[in-house]
Amino acid sequence: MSSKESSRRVFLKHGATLAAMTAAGIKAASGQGFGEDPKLRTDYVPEDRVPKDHVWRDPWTGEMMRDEEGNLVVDWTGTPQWERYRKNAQEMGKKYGTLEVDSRLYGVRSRYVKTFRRGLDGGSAFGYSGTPTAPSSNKTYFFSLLSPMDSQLGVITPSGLHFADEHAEVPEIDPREHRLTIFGMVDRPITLTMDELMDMPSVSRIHTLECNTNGVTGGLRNLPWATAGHAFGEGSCSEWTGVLMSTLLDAVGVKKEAKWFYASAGDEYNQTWAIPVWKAMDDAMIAYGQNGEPLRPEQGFPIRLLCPGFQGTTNIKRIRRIKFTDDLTLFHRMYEEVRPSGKVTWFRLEMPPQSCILRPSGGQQLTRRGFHEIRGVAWSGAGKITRVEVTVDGGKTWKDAVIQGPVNSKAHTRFAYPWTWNGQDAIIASRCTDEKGSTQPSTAEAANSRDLDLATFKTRNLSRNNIAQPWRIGRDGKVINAIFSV
Amino acid sequence: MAKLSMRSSVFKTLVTVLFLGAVVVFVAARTEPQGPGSAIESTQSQTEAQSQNQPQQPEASSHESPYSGMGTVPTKEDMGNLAFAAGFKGKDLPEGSGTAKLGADIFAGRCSMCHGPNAEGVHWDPMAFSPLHGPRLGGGNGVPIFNRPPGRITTLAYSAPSPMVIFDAIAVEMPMFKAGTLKPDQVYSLTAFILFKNGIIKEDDVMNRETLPNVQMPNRNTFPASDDVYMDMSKRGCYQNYGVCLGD
Repeated sequence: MSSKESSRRVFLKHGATLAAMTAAGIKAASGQGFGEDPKLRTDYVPEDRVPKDHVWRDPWTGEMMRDEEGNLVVDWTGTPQWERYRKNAQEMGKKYGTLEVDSRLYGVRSRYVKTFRRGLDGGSAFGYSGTPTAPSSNKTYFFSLLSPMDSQLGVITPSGLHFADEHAEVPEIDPREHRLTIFGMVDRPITLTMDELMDMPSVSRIHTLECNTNGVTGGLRNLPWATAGHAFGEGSCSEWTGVLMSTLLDAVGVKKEAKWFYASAGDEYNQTWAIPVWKAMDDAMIAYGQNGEPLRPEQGFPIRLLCPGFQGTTNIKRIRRIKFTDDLTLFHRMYEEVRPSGKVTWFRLEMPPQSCILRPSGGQQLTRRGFHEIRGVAWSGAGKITRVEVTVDGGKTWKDAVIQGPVNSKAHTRFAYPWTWNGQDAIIASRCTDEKGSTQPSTAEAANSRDLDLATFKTRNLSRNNIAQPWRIGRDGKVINAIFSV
Repeated sequence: MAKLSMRSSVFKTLVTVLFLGAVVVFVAARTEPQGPGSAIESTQSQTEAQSQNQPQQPEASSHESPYSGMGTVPTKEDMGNLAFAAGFKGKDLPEGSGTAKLGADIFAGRCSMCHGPNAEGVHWDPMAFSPLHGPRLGGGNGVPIFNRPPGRITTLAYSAPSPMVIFDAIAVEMPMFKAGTLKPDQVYSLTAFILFKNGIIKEDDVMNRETLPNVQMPNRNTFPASDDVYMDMSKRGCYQNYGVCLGD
């Protein structure tokens, strides 16, 4: 077909389209190429030519998905059309047409970004905390999928990198079938559908979620090669969207005598916790959203309990039932801790203040002398971070770092401290103070507070160990773990 | 419902009487969410509603929910075994009973693949990728201590301060993959079996809602006498010192 013929046909068709649109009383779009017969566009594939196995399917009906205009929703990856486009684009130059997958429906990271969750519970499946099952190449035993905090940039952990401790296989729960039942010491026991829950007044808040064994499992935080991701891999921060428990208390009319609620999952293991009612009246919520989209399955899709500042296991994923009561019991994972004196401390709830310098941090490499911004995050289960101090001389002197707002309560808070590296050995560390006045302890203070001598403290993997995390920078610029040096 | 409740009590009674017989039909037909004022009040008790295992409109009470037209009365299935998960006082314990002898058979069928035929625990084979493993549950001989010498076995029965801890875990969280499917008699029997396997009760001791809460657990004295310590975090020292709860 000659170009003249072709443009003539375009003209004729264009004219016909215009005439039709005018007849229908529709104003034609100005300019060329848009608002015309789609068949004239170079990218358009008519429906009969769309490879049907590349069309997304409705999860319930199995029907091919269409958008509001009636267009098929297609992932073109691997289709002849996609490969032809790529080939043509590659002819424009090496850096074009490099996308192997069609990421337009749901985006992907740059091929140069390869941060990944470390751990045993991950890979092709999620296994069991304490008894990992899915294949893994990890030699050191630690049961979680650890968030790579060492490479985290802001305060929000990407949902796909959020840490995960699973206690059974992760089920795919159909949100249309799932219910939330609230009963026990209430005036109006209720069972809610997910739609009804989403009709209720909602909030969206930024909160940190942290396991009480953060850095403890496998003694990871004590290993010489530990990065910030190993030391604090069981802590992540997200924007959580959902219904406050206090709203649900209004809906059911909780009785005055109720002191506890049992929150129970609906999955293969039904993880359950007893939580004080005051937390429900304060800031606990039933979350259905994380970072702007529905929860991911390993974060509890379709709904989870969120108890901001409380240890990770209280944040029941796939929550199905809540029972109000005045009678406390202990469920699995409501651990005790025994002290050398024989004294037993039973389950704890809130997490202590913690902070970590992320850059420079373990495993990283300084490449030059001169200016570096020391930066990291601080958080506390007790509330807002009010102060962060940084030492660059192994704890001899501490200076205030700049806290970067907005400062959210019980959430990762960014801090920064300008520093000039002179090329000598240095130990840097941070410590934070929260709004209740708690400050992170030194190693000696922490050992003392737990009735332990220093040697025992260093060899035992203790939960909620919130000593300052130091990093040693060698003359070669290599940054390594310097735990217990501050 | 909010609108209805504001009308005269005579009208309310009339509506109740008129619709009482039709409740089952009404509920079965109810597929669309009810708008404000469209809900029908019923004096039918919650127990009756549960026995029908059908969703019901929430009963009206002196205080209305601010969120009208929302939700249904929970069925028995909705509440599941959490309904009889009970605190240390055993208040919500269900009817039923069991013994270790009866529990042994149930254990063999429902639990031993993960916890071992003799409750000694199951560990996985290399490269088996097997989900069938679980901790030792029997043969405990000492409460948890800081430095545990070899031979001292601390099972759940030896660390739990109350027998309810074992009962509740079995009722709600076990067996893995079919959690919450055991019947009250089975839960009593399995609880008795675990207690017996740790030498805490005898093989023929009957466990029921009267006897179970009174079983004396080896680690009972370490638990706080009152749950008040959890009612105010500042009392526990969690906010002082280094933010670490320093014990009770």
